[in-house]
Amino acid sequence: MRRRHLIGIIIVVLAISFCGMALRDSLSPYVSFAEARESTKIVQVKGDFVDKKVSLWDEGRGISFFLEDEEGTRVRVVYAGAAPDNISHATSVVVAGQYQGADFLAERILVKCPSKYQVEGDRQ
Amino acid sequence: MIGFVAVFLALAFTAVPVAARSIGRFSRQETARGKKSEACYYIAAALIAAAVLYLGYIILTDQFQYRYVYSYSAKNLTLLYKTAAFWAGQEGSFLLWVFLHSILGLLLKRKKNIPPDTLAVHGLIQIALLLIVLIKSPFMMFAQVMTDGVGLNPLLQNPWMISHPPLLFLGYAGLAVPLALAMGSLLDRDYESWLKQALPWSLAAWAALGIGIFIGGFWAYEVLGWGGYWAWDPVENSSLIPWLAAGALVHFLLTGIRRKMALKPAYLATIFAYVTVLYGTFLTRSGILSDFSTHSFSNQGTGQILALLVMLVLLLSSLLLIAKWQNIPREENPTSLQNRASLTLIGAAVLAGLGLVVLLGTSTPLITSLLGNPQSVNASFYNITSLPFAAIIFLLLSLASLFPWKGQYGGSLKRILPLLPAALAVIALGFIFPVRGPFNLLVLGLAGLALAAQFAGPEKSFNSLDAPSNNKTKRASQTRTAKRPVKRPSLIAHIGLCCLVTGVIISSAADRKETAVLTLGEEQFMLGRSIVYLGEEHLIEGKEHRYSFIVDGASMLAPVRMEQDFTVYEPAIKRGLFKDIYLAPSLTQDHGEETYTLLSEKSKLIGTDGLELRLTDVGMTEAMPGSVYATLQAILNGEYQEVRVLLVYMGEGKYEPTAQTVFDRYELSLVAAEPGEVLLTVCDQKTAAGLILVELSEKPLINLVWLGALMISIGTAWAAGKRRTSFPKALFERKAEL
Repeated sequence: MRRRHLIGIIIVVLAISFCGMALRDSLSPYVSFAEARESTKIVQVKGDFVDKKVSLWDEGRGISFFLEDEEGTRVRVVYAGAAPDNISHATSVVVAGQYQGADFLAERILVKCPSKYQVEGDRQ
Repeated sequence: MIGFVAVFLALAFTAVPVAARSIGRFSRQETARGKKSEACYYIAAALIAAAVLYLGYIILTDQFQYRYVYSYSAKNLTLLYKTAAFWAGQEGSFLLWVFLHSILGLLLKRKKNIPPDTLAVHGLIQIALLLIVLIKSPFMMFAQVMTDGVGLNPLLQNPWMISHPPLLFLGYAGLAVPLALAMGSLLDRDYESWLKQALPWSLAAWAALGIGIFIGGFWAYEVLGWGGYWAWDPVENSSLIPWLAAGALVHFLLTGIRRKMALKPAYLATIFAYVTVLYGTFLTRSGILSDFSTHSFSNQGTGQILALLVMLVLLLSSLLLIAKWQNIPREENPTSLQNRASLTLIGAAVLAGLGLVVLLGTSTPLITSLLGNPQSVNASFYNITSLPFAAIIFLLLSLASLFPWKGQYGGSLKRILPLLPAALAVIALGFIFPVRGPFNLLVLGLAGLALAAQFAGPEKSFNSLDAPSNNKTKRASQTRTAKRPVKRPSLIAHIGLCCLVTGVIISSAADRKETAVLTLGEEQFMLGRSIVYLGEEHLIEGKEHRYSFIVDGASMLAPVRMEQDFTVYEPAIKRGLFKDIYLAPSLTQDHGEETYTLLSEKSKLIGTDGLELRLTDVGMTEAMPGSVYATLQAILNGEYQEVRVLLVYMGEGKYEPTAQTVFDRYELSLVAAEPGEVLLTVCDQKTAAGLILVELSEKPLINLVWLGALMISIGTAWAAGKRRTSFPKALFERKAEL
């Protein structure tokens, strides 16, 4: 019984440390573009989608658009994939990725659509 | 007013029997009055039903003075989507939830022999849910009259919206019952008989949650064009965690019915399952995760009360469990690992552990925000961590099929060797598609092993301690296995799990995709396939269109719906037995690229493809007072054209440009003019017309995912039905056998 408990505990400890390591590796902090430039890991930047215009990037390899973060830095975001639904109506966009040259290469885009479908609370 | 009053009265009527019961407990006397007061549950349920009917009524009759109706419904919605509007928002969802909770409460009340305090615990939770409905009431009204509503979010205008949310809420509501039974049993000091009573409820809740989740995944894949069925989004996770917890709970209950060693885990699992239901609701409804999810939800003031509710349920139930912990019977005899009960116990713990890991990942934004530096985890976290859990579960499934429920397995573990070809077959299958990576292939192999083990059946069900293995007893026990009624659902569900995980690994690890811009009518190659964009077909002008493609000679159509400023793209999917071709359009350009140009009489402009523009004259038109004209010379490839663009004065300080096209390609329009200088937009139609950005992907063996999900749904739902009707008899028979 003792030995079995010990083995059990070892397995659980191993599992926890494995998950802990996986967690540490996949954490991506929320930063500004300036901080993102310094970072070597995948980071997330939340920005205002100022001109609401999405263009094609690199002859259709993906899309590009401009984001302005809270510090007012304006950066071109490029994404090797199709544009998420309704990005052109987004007010703010969260991009996860890293810098690639002067552009921010996004791996994932989260679009926040405020749209008329969410009524503000103060509209009574 | 009517709805609000109904909910308020329901709260009062739920409080009466709960209070009576509590007072009865503390004064240590079972009063007839306390018993009688339980009739109040019926009144409360009727009142909640009235509130539900009333909300349905005001939605269907377009009473837009109600804020909820205004926010989620509109005149022109079809009956189907008006129904869906009921649970499109938070307020209606909570009302639906508490309605299902109260109905289940009534069903629970009809059961005999449940621990006497069960209903009071269940009622207590109902009070909390009703409080939320009171605070976030769907019956708030505007001061002024509204003529039409905002309407249902077009993304939600889909038939799946009818079934997906209610099923999840049924699962959520269902998991309150095992918790109530567990707490009731603790108060009643009868620690064992509640397991049998909790099992059908847990199975039903698990099935409802599972089916709801699978429908959601299918919806995301089929309609929303998210490119997949699962994205580890917090909203998805918040229903997955309770599902995993419910799975653990069901297996703990199944083991606990036979062996005392699973009693404490079963108690813990009831708490874990319901607390994660509430916690998931808190995470997704409080707005904390709004920057971390593709689902849109905002903080509408329910955050604090939900957080409080999570804390209260966790604290109260844990305290009660701790108080009684020492009294819960424990296993007397030493337990061998080589029996099915032990493995089921471990398997359930692994399921719960996976639930904890997903919980941790989903909570990182919350935890790190509290620490000051908000971070979230990538999907890779879940993909990496879930693999070992899947591997262990399949290993346990394979071994468990060899072992008897009780006693110790006498045979050799070599019996698993005949199953190895199946493992290799699945690995080979994965390798073809091509899945690479040792961990993926390992899990595939173990899935194959577990799958084969399900078909092989137990070597012998019982008595394996003394009986030597020979073919005769083996066959006898196998026929007995086949006849056992409760076995089949679990068999289907376990086979389904093997299919599901195999499908998930192959379809995601061997997923290929490519993004490209297609030009109208031009053949291009993506992923080695010929693809032609044929343009946009208008089904209902300005509302329903579809993009038409030819992929490898076959037509593919991608619908697109327009709802004022909202465009919903749907993917075109060409189904195949082994592979789906998935084409997701995302962005069209039919306006062309516009460039703004300041042009003076002295300068010239060189545009795209060598277009040259010169300004020759600017002035006021004589025919139209206040309007401005500009004369432009355009030169392209040695050809020369002259055009006159106008800025027509419309009165009241407004101007309208009239565009002119040169060389059938460049659209010129005047934005502003001053003497000797104009601001122009030049729109190159060639860059624009008929361009579409698409993502083409191949989803190999995605059908295994649907098949697995379907089998799990059938298995769990069937088990729930079976346990409800035939459980006690079957169990006692087995107990006798043991």
